[in-house]
Formats: sequence, structure tokens, C-alpha cells
Amino acid sequence: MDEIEIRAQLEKHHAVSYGWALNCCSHNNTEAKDVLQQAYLKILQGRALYKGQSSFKTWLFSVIRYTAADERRRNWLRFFGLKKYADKYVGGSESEEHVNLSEKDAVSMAFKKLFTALPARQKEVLHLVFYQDMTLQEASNVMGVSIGSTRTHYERGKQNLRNMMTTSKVNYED
Amino acid sequence: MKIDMTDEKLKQLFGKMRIEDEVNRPAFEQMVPKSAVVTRRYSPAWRLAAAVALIILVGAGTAIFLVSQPQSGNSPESTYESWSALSNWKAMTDNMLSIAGSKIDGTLTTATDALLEVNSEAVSAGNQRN
Repeated sequence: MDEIEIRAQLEKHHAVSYGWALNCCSHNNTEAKDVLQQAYLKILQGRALYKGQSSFKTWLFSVIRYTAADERRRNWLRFFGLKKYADKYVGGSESEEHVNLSEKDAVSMAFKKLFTALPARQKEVLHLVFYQDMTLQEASNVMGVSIGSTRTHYERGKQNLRNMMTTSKVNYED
Repeated sequence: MKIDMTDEKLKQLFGKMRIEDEVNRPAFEQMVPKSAVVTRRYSPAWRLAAAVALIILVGAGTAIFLVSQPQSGNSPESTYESWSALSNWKAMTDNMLSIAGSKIDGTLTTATDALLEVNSEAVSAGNQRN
């Protein structure tokens, strides 16, 4: 696959890739952009090679997932060093955001918050199936785990999400 | 509150999330500048090999430099100098010893010297009588 073809494929999957990067970065917009850019550069500079063993989208999602994991590992010290300040900052901005939210937005935001609270694997599989419209087999390829394990994470994730939504005060029925 | 958590409902909620995410999505061109040309970078194995080669090169250079340097501290000349300095060394009391020796030889007599003289005179007198 030459550079022009790779660029075309990346552009084609850019929208879904961004959604996946967001999921891999706990919906942190800035971090997701960084990770996505790093993943693109990694591919364009030949540091990650597509060998045609799976679909381009599945492979691209794996690259993004590994890049996000690398980024997390690289920043863990910095994160712990600045955690108390970061928490303070995020808390402040979040409360400001809630002030002008419509009810519809509030439901959506509450759902996102619940979803973000799920364990990583469950979050990944639910995102890939419901957000990206992937099959469980495709999701297992992206996650690098067996189909059986993927199915278990999928069922548990749905169960956990259901429980959290039931106990929350937000009305999701509308 | 009872929630009808069908897969369809979940899809709806995820669909809303996707629409919201779209708002903040950066343009593809913004993410990948045109200057980002495909350049084959060196693989980690190559980098490691280069680092090892550099270390060996620096080590060899240092070793050659140290071997070629004259070892001034351990040269034969310096050893001879230090040894001769040791053999020429004299203590302050050495002079006192030589002075004391010369005085004892010329002047000092002991109590037994007089007895020896008496005995020798007696022996010579006896010889004359005989």
C-alpha cells in the first residue's frame, strides 16, 4: 500500500477513528487528538505497517489503541505529579458546563459519564459494537482478545451499564 | 426507575454520543500536515546497535589514549630518584654519634684500667726477681 492509498484510507476512516481515539482516552478531547495524530504519523512514517491480515479499519483501530496505551504509560508520572491540580481544574470546568445544559444534553452527558466509569475492556467492546457498528469478531480483533472473552466483556458491560442507569436519577426513557 | 435497556436503546444513546463527538472532531488535513512525508526511520534494533557501536568506539578511544600517555609516576628515572633520596637521608642525631665516639676514644678511662696497670707491674717485677 503506497502513501497516497494510505492517506486516502486514513481520511476515509477519520471520523470513526476520532470516536475510537476519544474512547481510548476516556473522552479527553485534547489527548484524543494527540493520540490520533501520533497514530497517523506512525502509519505514514512506516513505523506501523499494514500487512493485510485484517481490514484496514480493524488494523487502524489497533494502532490507535496501542498508541493511546503508550501515551498513558509515558505520561503516568507526569499525571500523578499534577493529579491534584488536574482534578481541581477539570472539576471547575465541568461544573461550569452543567450550568447551561438542556435536559437532552444532560441525559447524554450523564450517559457518557456512566459509560466512562465502566472497566476499560467493557467500555471498549461496547463502543466498538454500538458506536462503531462492529461485530463481536471484529471487536475481538481490535482488542486483541479471544471472541469468548470479548463476548463476556460485552455481556458484563451491558449489565453494568443497565445497573448504573437504573440507580441513576436521570430519565433515559425519552 | 425501570429502564428498558434493549440494544436499540443503547444504540440510540451511543448515536447521540457520536453526534456530539462530531462537533469537536478536527479536520483530517489539520491532523496530518502535508509535510509529513513517508520517511523510513531506523528501527529500534538499528538504534540499539548504533548505541552499542558508539559505546565500544568511545571505550576503545579512551583505552588507546590512556595507553599512549607516558606514565610519569612509575618511570625508572623517578624510581631511582626516590631511592637515592632515601639513601642520602641522615638523621639529626647522626652527628652526635660521631662526636661522642671520638671523645670516648681519647679521654675516658674506667676503674679496671688501674688494676690492669698494677697487675702488669707486679708481673714484670716477679720476672726480674727470677
